[in-house]
Amino acid sequence: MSRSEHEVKVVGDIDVSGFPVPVKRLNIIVGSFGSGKTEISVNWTAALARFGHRVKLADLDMANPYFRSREAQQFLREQGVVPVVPHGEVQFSDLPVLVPQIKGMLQRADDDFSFFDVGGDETGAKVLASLRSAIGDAPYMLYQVINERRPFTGTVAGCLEMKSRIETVAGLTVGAYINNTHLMEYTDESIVRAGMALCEQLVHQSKVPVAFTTVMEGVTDTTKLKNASDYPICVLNRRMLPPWLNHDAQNSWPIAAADRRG
Amino acid sequence: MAKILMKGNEAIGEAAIKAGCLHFFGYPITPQNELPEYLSKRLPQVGGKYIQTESEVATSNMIFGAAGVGVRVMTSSSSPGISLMSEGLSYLAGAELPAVIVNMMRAGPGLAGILPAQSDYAHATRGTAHGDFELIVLAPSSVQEAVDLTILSFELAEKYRNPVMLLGDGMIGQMMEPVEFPDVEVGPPMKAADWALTGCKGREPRLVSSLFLDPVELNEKNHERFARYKVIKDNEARHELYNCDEPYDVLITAFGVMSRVCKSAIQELKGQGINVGMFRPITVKPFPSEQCSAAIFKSKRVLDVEMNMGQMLVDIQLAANGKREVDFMGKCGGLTPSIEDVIESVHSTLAKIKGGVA
Repeated sequence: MSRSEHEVKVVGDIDVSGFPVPVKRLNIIVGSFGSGKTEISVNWTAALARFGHRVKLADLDMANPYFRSREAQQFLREQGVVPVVPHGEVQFSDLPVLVPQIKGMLQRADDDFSFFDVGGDETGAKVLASLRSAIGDAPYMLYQVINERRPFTGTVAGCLEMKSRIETVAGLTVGAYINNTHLMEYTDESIVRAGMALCEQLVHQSKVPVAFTTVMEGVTDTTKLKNASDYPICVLNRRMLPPWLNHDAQNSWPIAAADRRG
Repeated sequence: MAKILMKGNEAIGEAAIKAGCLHFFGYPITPQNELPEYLSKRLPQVGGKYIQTESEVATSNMIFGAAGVGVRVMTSSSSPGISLMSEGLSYLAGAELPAVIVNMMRAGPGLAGILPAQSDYAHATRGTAHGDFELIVLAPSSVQEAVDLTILSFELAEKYRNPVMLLGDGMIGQMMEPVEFPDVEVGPPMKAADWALTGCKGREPRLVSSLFLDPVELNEKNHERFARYKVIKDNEARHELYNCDEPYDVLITAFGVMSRVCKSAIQELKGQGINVGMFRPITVKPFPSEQCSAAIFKSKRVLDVEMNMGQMLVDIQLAANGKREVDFMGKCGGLTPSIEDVIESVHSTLAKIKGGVA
């Protein structure tokens, strides 16, 4: 089927950064856990900030204990993103800690774009219910991240069930998918294409468009994929690294990345 | 079967199903929650039973009951929860019941934190609970190895009629890696055992119990059990040697994910012209002592690296048998030593060799 049926503009043109410019100020990233929300949030916001946009990223992940965007806050600051994260010892917890700046981000437009990196599954999305009234009728874009190679979201039915569960607890509606299908170092073009095919079926069944597809830097040749895709292909640099892959770490994980200032 | 991308916790859950385990009892605790969560979705799909218990004490007794009727059973928890199960683990060993217990260790002692640590090595390998018994304890260092060792855990538990612990840490549970599974939907059920309580119609009743009031009988039982542990040590001890083919002055000893940081450090040290070997026990109980000694005796000095205050150090020192000095570098509280931390420690051990420090 042709995408022209759903010519909704979910993201703007590709920026010089290689990522599209969002069409809404509020950008909320959800999906099943392990789908790649944090890697996308960190890469996308850093790319936008590097090229002059004023960007904030709130870490709303209360479901996952580790590999959350707060671990990349030093990198984010260096890139010009304002990370909105819990401080002090609670940042190392999985407690429902909401810093006051989050409501500010939702209600006051003192930035160009506000991003919200939400925890996985409907469990992680519950935090959005508590912010629903603060969002009010402000325009937002809710992105559902899809990795075809993850359990439970390898099929259209699985993805739609996840979509419906998240929407139900969050009280918000998914406006776009992000295809983040990969298998880490085993990713090849066919794996990315399988994710694109799954997303095409999702578009067809749910009438929700795809914002973009991601590929990890150095893993696949993007030229062929770009020619085959109606929507942008964005290149990710892996930022959420386990300690044995982090050759630049000056300190022990997770302190290497986190900011312990209270 | 094609590779998929899984968290360690999920992958262990799926591996249990592939091993034919259709019974899971557990209570939530970070950082292992994805494991029960995964099985709560998957077990009903394959005709299994998932029960969230009211506590870890209840869990260990439900495992006892399920194992007693001859079905494959698993639980998972993290450090404080495993402490609560300790009494039940002793009962399982006493009644010679096969079961698999996953411990995704977090920092301790007490409630402590939710970040990864190797804080329960001593608890798992020598101080699990009261009485004369041992667990078989397997320590994976990757998600794929966690899958393979989960399947092996069920085999060993049944073969030797003893509880088996899969000793991971929060990092193993939380990290994502591509994995492959055996090409079966659900593994075969446990073979009809001649001790299981399966209904005694038409045969003599059986008894599954850890109660032995007769001292002579209990003495014999424990001697028989420890003779079996000797067989397990002789036949099932597993280890990995890394970069040990070229001569080395320093041998690193590490287990679980810590060994992966050490491997990266060893590769960087190679670039500096320094060859360092590594010994990694895969079964931390039984500890592969002879294999460890052999690797130690090729070195001049040993560096033990752990995410704790030195709990495996005793096993390394026993293997060194007073013939080599063993240095220790450890971080805990949820910190994982960095590649740089390990490299610095290797240089410090090398300096001690040069300076003739005892």
